[in-house]
Amino acid sequence: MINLENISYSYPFQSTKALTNINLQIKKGEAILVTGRSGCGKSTLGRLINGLIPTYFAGSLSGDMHIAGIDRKRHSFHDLTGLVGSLFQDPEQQFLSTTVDDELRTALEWRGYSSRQIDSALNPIIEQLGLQNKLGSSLFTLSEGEKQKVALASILALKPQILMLDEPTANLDIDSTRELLSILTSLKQEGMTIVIFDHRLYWLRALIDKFYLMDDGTISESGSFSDLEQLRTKFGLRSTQQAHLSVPQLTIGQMTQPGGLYFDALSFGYSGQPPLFNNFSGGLPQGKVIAICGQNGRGKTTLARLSMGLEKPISGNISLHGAIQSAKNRLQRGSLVLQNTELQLYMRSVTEELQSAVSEPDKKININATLEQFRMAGLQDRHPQSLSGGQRQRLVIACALQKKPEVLILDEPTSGLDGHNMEMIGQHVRAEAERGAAVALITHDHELINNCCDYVWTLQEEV
Amino acid sequence: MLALSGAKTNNKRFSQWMGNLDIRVKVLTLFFLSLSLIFLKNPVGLAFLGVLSTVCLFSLGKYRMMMIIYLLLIVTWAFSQSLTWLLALFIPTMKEQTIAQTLIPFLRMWPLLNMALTVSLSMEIGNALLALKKMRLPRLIYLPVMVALRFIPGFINDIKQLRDCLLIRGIPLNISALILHPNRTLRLLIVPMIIRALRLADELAIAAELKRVGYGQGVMLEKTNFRWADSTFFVGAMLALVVAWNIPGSIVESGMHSSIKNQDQLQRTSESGQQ
Amino acid sequence: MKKPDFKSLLRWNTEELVLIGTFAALIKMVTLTVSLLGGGMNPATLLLKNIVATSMLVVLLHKVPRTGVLVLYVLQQAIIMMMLMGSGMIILPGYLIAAIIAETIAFFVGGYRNTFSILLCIGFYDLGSRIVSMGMSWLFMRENISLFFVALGIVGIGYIGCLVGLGTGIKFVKEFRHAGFIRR
Repeated sequence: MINLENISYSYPFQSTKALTNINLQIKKGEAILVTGRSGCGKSTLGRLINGLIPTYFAGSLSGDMHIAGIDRKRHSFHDLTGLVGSLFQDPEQQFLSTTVDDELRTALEWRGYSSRQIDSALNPIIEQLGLQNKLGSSLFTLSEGEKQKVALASILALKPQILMLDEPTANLDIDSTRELLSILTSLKQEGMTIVIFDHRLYWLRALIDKFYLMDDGTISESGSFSDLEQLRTKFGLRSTQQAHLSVPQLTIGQMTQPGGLYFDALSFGYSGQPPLFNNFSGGLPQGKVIAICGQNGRGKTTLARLSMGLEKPISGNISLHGAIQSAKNRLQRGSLVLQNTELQLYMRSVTEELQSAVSEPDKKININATLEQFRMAGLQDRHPQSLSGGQRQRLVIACALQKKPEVLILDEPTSGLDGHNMEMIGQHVRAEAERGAAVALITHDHELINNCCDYVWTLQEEV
Repeated sequence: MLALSGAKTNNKRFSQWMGNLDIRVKVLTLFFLSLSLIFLKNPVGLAFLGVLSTVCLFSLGKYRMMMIIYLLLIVTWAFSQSLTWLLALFIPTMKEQTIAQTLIPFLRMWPLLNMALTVSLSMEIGNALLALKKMRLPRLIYLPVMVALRFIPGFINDIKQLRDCLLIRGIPLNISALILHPNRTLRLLIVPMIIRALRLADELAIAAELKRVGYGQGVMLEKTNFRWADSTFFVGAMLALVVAWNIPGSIVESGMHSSIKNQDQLQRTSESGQQ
Repeated sequence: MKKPDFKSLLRWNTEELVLIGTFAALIKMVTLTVSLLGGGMNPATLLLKNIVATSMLVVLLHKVPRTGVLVLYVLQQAIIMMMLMGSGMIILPGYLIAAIIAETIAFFVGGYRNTFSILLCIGFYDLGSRIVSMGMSWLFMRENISLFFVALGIVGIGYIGCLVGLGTGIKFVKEFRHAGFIRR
């Protein structure tokens, strides 16, 4: 189904090769995992298979490539788009409409299908993925899992022979991950060839036939899933076992100790929507790392925004170390790292970025040591926005720590990070707690929680 | 703007009939209205259109917003009237400017503002995208406009997020920051947004390529006929324009003309004086 | 000088079209936000709004340096305005003519491969489109001269903003080159 022989590729304007001498054979109906450290060339390989290289990303490409029976040298990119379906890490990026129904129809409409043909193509898929009740919804109101299903449905409607998924579980909670797995399993049984690019491994145990491990633009190892365990430490991989939470739940007693951030009888809701918090109390104790869990849409990020004074509660108080603090004070004394890293970096160079994050502007910090700690040595003069996604994420966290915050909240800090980097973030977070900060991580990632959190705080549904 | 805030926060139900009208009908009506307004001089006709369009806006139920906007219109008129008086102290011909003359531009803006607000407030991005598809525009125009409409809700969110992230960093984004550190503030306002746009454009172009949007024979949509309500509204609106044109009223000279004429007169009187 | 290839004016790849659309939306949204936050019609807001818009346009023309980009941009922006705010249709032909003249000037000065012609093109377009808007304001306000003077003042300040924006735009282009977003 996919046959790559001696493929080498480098991006335009870059001297180093992104892929070197790749050989890969994938048979029809196989499910394949491609994994490896951040920046190992996984995404480039994906772009090669779905045809974006060399059509969309020019650059220099050598070697032979047959995909779904067609020779890439003789066929155009557009012959390939119907044969290979790609699901992006953030499904929102591939939406071209605003409602579910419209999104599902778009690609078919542009292929010249009539309305009746579209219905007959879509109906079985809508049923298979259980989207019947969501057709009229706005795409923006869906949960991450639902968004992903819509993106998947719109791909499957084109009847591809190969399905490619890029870190499909990065934003999913455990239940949605399980559901995705069962969908993929049934697709595989129907004969679909599946290629998954992912850091998270545990959920793939029952699905994949073979893995390819990439390192520095080459395929360095391959084998069956059970072989992955031995390679973990060498290549900085994430766990291959499903992590069961080994961290206790946060109790009311711990929430009401004197040090830390506390919410007292808090009420809040966005206008026109049901309240998220009603007479809500709780808190983040000083010196501990708390994992804030709960279903998507429960208000985890909103709680973080309330903590930092970015949202104003309708009623109730928020106190820090026993004294009620104004929003402005809390903002000054805390740090919050949000998911969208592009909007959190502003300066012209990494050095400038780190220096600007220090609360006392005259205090010089040791840039080199800080970058070393975050595995970013040598990047001093780079423009922050030219860094890779993982590097940007680490830089944003490094900046947040420069402020020496009394409260530190990180929103999904490890989506898209490999095992090495996840452990590193875990160490920094622990160090902050030991310094005396109240630390919270909003995350679905059980591996991370076991790695560095003291307690889990699960936000229950508001009744 | 409701339309601009996108689907995310848009939970309120629009007034039924304005919201249900085909967007093409509304836009076309607005086009003819603005064309007429340029040439129409009769204050009675203008006022007639103003009242009718106020009904359209009123039906949306945004009373507070209407009040603020009308108040702004009145304040601007008062400002322009006092400016006229002030100018009259230095330029004698300005004395000739009558209240009717200062009022007419506002009478012209009134229906235009009403209709433009009606169109924008009763619009949803999703409907606009659908209307766009129905218009069978060439790829050259369809693709970028689709992208733009699709991403406006996202952009609004991004701007809000950017402000929050800057606050977290302790960088305020306000007028005083702009005056104290113009270069830095300008950069902070522009650079992250452009980079966000560049990345979005990249992702979206890839998505559009993979979906082959804009290629091939294009969208085959069943012909959508205007509904009864659409046609009625359009015919009614055109009739109103005809009435506005033919309604008896007074003719108000345009300011430039009258001042030129006045200058002529002045010249003539001065000439006759010399004689 | 290269002869203009009129057929290629109609051939655009998805990436270029999407960039134009994204920037049309971005510029509209950011200028609208600046106006709303800045409290509408004060000189500082007017200046800022135009600096932002022009700098972003400078970046767009460096990112998509080919004849026709400005005309397409103006067209897109008019359609967006029409669909969202119901305005801008009457003035579109005037803006298009301004854009076409600006692009022609840029073409004869050396094309979009050089920064000077990009700046000249945008500078001229900003001027031309303002003259068109002034004409339109006159049509709407012809009975009330003082109001017309106010409009003239607003447009004048706006144009100063545009000229400043050309300079800041170039600064941003340099920065985006360093960041690898602009590759020329």
